[in-house]
Amino acid sequence: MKLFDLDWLDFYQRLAVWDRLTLNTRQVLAQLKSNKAVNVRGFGDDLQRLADARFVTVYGDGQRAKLHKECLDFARAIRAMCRHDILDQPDAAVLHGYILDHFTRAEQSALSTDGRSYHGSAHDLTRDAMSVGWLNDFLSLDNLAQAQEWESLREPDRYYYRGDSKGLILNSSEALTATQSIIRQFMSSTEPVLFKDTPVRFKHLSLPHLAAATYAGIRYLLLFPSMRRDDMTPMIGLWPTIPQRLHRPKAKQPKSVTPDQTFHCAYLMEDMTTVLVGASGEPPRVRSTDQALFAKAREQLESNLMSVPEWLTQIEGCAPGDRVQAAVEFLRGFGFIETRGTHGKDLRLEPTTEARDWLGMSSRDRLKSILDRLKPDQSQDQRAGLPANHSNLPGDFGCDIGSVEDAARFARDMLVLAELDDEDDDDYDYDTPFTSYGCDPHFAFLPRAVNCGIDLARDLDIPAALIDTYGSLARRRFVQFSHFVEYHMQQANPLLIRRQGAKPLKLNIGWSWRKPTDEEAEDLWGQLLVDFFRRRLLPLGGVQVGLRGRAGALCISLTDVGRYLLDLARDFEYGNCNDQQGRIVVQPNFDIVFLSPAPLAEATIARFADRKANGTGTLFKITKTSIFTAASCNMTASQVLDTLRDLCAKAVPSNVTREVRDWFDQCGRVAIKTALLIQCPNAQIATRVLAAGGKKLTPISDTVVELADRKFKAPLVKKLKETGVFVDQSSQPAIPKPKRRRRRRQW
Amino acid sequence: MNHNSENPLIVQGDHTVLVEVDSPRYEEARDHLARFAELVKSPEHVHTYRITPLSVWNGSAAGMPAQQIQSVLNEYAKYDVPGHVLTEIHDFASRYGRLKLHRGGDVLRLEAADAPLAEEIWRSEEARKYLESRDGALSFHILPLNRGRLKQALVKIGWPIEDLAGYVDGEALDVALRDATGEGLPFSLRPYQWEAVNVFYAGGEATGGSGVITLPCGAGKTVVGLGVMARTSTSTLILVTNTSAVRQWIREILDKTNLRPDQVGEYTGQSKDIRPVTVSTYQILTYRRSRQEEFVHFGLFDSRDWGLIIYDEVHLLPAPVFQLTADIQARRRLGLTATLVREDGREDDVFALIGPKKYDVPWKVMENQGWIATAVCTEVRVRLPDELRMGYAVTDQRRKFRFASENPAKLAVLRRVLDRHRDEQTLIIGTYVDHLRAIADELHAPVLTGQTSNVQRERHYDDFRAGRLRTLVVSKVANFAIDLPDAAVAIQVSGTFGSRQEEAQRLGRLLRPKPGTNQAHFYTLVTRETLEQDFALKRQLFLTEQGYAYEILDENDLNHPRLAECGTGFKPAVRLASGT
Repeated sequence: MKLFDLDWLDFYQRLAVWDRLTLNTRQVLAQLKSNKAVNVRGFGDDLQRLADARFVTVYGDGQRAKLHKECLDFARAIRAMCRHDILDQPDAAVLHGYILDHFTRAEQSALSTDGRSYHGSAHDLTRDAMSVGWLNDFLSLDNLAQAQEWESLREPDRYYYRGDSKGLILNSSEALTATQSIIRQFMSSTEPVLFKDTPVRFKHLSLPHLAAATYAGIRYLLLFPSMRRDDMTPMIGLWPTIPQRLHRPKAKQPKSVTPDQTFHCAYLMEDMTTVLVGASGEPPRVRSTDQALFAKAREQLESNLMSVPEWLTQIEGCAPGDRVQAAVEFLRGFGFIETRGTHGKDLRLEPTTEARDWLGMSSRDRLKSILDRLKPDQSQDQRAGLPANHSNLPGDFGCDIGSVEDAARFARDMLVLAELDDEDDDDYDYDTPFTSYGCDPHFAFLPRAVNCGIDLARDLDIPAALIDTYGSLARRRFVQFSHFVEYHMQQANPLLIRRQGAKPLKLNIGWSWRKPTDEEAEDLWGQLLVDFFRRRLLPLGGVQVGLRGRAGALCISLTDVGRYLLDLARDFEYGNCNDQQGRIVVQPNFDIVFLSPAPLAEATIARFADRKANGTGTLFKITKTSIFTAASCNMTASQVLDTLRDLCAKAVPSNVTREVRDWFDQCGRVAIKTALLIQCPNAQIATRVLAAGGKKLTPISDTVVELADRKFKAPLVKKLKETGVFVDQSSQPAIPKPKRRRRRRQW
Repeated sequence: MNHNSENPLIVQGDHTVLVEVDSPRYEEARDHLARFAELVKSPEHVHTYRITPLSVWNGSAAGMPAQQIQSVLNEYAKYDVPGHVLTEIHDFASRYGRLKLHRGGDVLRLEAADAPLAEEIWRSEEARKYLESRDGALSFHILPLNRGRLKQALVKIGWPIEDLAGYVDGEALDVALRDATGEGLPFSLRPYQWEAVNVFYAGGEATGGSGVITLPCGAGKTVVGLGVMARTSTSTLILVTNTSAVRQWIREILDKTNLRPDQVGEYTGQSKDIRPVTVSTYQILTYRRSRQEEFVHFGLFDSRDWGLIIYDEVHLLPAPVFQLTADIQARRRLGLTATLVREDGREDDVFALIGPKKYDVPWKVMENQGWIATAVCTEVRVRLPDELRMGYAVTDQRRKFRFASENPAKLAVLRRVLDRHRDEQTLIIGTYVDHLRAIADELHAPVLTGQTSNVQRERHYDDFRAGRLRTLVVSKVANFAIDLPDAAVAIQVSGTFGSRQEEAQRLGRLLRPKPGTNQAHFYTLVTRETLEQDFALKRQLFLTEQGYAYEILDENDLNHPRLAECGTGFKPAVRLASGT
């Protein structure tokens, strides 16, 4: 214990003098270091009061002052309270700083229930100390013996204390009772109290008992002293989030609401389409180092994305840059694009043959093909190789997880990867324990972020729980998303239910497996719900989202697409843009004008027209190049024209129709292959060559013959020689030797 | 976001305004919008306008304050008008009228509305050199010689001058419009032409007397010019695009005014007559022997005491003429054009030196009243004969366009189109003279090229106008300002690559009102799957953006019985826009 191992009785006694000081003098005093003299001008009229109360010693003709040696502890406590912003920012990072500041390494480890060395805010100690369970554990001590056992376990030199109560704080029943009583009183209140008010507040305790209880509470992270900055008043209370949780209103079933604006679109699928169409026209270049898109290529793709309402982009993952990244990763994951080109020189993303087939599908079928690969039943097929009683992990982690050890190893691997990704930020994982360890999407029902951190070896079926939770949303009925999440975190949380059940739930947090606190279980389930919404339901059109009220509350309603993804429906409708008809006009100059926003139609048209803008106005122009790109993606003229007819109330201008057809008619596919040409001096020799080669040879002209299969060259040369036709060796092409790649030096 | 689907306007953040033509409030919105926004393109369903500082100043000059512009936008917009657009319109408009130019005896005085503005222009490098001295905190002394250049410089830094310094009267000339033309047909200005004349003249006040009148092709801009001449009754210099247009102006002047031939002179390459009314070309004015030498014909401006200068097709005004115009700001200046949009972006010079837009009549009004013809544009795609395909394939890129343009298969298609319009006056227009001659020989029609003498040209034009010639084959010489009012059909067999200006000018030949259906047909014969088709697409885009209906047909479609039954035609014309 570095700082709070002090005489709290003395602290309480000096508080009355502290209270009489002006704010300025308190601030000056709080900055005084024990061995440093300062000019007394800052003390003003309080100087005499400070000297009388033996806070400072004045010397040097009354011009300088320094802390009085009897007041060093008090000043140290005041300075320490000022160091940590517990009242305004009661999060794990602040608590982590507080613990590092006030406890020795041995004390930190002893306070940790598992006894392992303390290493960060994600550690059990930080999370435990922020939980109600931590307090209840202490309050459950019934007698002195239990208390001393409890305390000795939390002392660094625990063996020394065993059987010896002299060094312990809870060394009497009165001390235990006093400490428990003030903890209980703090739990019944929502706010911390002023230090100076505690003697009145706990008047049933004598000041020495109160001081002892205060010391015990602080020593075992039950109570936290802090400083109210406005008036430099010392406060004491529980960790601020605990009373908030204890006194929060009970979450109710979310009510049905009517949003002011709504949006529904499987924008991830549309973005994948846009990226793929873009890649068909001009394959975007990627960096050799990490295979990420070059900024210019990414910006180009971003500018072509379908527009979504401004309020939607506030949701994490909906910003254009994130959308392009997600689309590219999904396309990669689904095998629709692959990196081709020369490493280190000209790497680019090019669509595969499967991609062309996929692009040729209707928007509904394209979406269905994605959903089918993400649906939970599909994921079960993927894990078919694993024993049934092992993991419930629905998806492909890229490693075989069949046991707790495997899962832990996997989590550690992920952690290492994350640390390598962000070397400058050592606390990355500690600060964000439930967020993704990597940014790449997980091509299964559960996104990777959702999977990490849950005890994979236990039989908690997370997908089923998510299906139950989101499946509880009524069709075509909006609820406020925050209410929905809040309710399911508190009242219908499968992790909490499991935690309180027979088989304890364990979480993989940081480096360790542990039983989560209630707060963690709530946070985790909330995060799972939000992650699943953000990474699956929203981008794949599984929910219709809305915005309600001036404050802009996000509302959601489960769609048929969502029900299909959750395996609650056999089929779904998507891409019916009829409701947007009449808002879109195709002009004779090939401009496509949107008279009102129609995102779904935008996404559809983006497949065969060049984007010019977003929102409303002239958003697209049909050009020869855009039609050629569409044709390269296996689209047909009828598909394009039918789409335009479906979307536009007015007839498509005849010149546009005609031109689009003509452009499609100009398209065709060719194959490029390598062949050998045999040049003959005259037609008669060419006939003999053909006779020798048989079906392997094809006449190109009277004197030129093609040999497509290079393997047949040697037998053909031999046969020709036998028939008196000799191959001029000098005319044979030299076979290029493969370039030897210079090996990069490894350091 | 508020949404009123009945309203036609979508005002966008980049100052463009989309106008939905099918909206019930379209016409009223367009009439308001045309006063302070420039029409950029007008394809079938949605037109695009652009609000610029110049367009707002034009609106301000026509008496439309910022509040009125803002209320028009708010009233007709489908969605809320972006706040910054309204603010900027207010800002643009607030700049007009804060600098005024007055005459004080022999000198000119520029007055600023406030001290900061006066200080700004006094410290401006561009304007400072034209300010002779500072008379006071808000007033500057200007030499008359610098009047135009100062206006030009200040427009470029965003401060238009309201020029109230007035004009010299010029040499008096008795000009009056006739009641009947030379042929005895009754003649008077149409209502909108009178209105344009009166708005320009402004009762002889300093607020009028200079500016631009925009009217669509075929709406009678020449006649408006004659009306202004009659109203100002002063010696007039008329600048036009080419010699044929000079002759046409002279013919119109003699036909419709009381001026005698000896009062009207032609100042061209062939003739250098300077008379009380002189018609000249931009080319002759900008002629010089070498780049280092002076423009030898600039003296024309000082050769008489001109009271009025008319600039025909002001959007084509060449740069040197701007310099010249800057020196003659004391004379009344009338610009005539179908569009204020210049390819070189020098609209600000037109505004500063010729004057603001004074009058703009909605084309729909004129079309409804039958003052201009409607036109249908048809592109007929012709196959390149098989025996020529290899020749085309191996021709170098530079010659491919000509190769495709001179496709001999076009002749047969041409005959079929002519057959379809056998009772109508038809122009066959092309670029390559040899090809045109071959066509003319086949059709036994006269051909008119740059090598044809002016006398012979006029004879052919006269024959065509009189109906003695049904078909006339013309080269590029007929692109500009030739009035062949009875031409109802034009067949373009080749064009100058993707020249949009040429396409518009050629189509413009057809837009004089027609008896009967008042409909014109403009055909373009294009060789399929060649470079010519790519260039034709550019021209096609331009025409559709100007509001013309556009049809693409295959050569075989011309034989289609359904089409044959329709007589002349194809789908009825949709309309004609107020474009070029």
